[in-house]
Amino acid sequence: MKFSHQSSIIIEVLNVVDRANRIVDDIEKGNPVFVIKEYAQNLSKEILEIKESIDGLHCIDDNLQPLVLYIEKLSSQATTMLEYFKTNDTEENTKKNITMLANNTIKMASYDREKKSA
Amino acid sequence: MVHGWTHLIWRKQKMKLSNYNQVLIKISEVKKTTSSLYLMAENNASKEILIKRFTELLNLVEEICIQAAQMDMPKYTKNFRVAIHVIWNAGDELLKIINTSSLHQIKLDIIDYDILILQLELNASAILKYEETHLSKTG
Repeated sequence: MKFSHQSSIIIEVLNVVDRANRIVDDIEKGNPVFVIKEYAQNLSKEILEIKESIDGLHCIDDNLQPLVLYIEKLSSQATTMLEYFKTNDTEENTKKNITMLANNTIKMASYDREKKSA
Repeated sequence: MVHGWTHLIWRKQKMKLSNYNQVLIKISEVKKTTSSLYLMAENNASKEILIKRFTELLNLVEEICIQAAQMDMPKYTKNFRVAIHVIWNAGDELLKIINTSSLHQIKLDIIDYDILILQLELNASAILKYEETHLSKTG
């Protein structure tokens, strides 16, 4: 996935946020961990793709800087999660950590535009 | 007389901005330390060292909490003060479990903490920007 314009990044951010919301729903519904784990792996990869696309942009608007900073941190979490998935931790811990990633992804939506007020 | 009052309000606003700036500087120190903690965990630092550095980090967060509590903050920024307390509590919880956690778990928890601090920094920057705009209008 390569973006030619910043607005495409916003669209992709919102898609990823939507996916994270569905993961939280799946966890709440008690769906099997191996299924949720696969979704979370895809989510992690998509976050990394967004980061890669941002790195490829020549210039970024000032009002997108908070989002860029946030994605940078989130991509570190995504990388760590991809490593973590190889460890086959307990179901309980896996769910906890996936929830952590999904919730942080959802928070990304707050930074898609410059905050008008705190 | 009117000018005197306006000037007084303007000076108060300037002081408030300088307080925010100080808090922002401390938050960025906390952010740097958290990032270095993550790198330490990634490079297999011992739990003792991580705990020691984390305790230092929490002391810094405590300083920010105290400073924020003393600051004259408008109503809309009360969430900022709450956010600092959330970070303090989260750090405290993390410190309690770090000894019994796996290295992967420590790394995940530290990065989660790092994200929490980034959010606080972004909110603090937004507040500062808002206040600066407000000050330039009233000044």
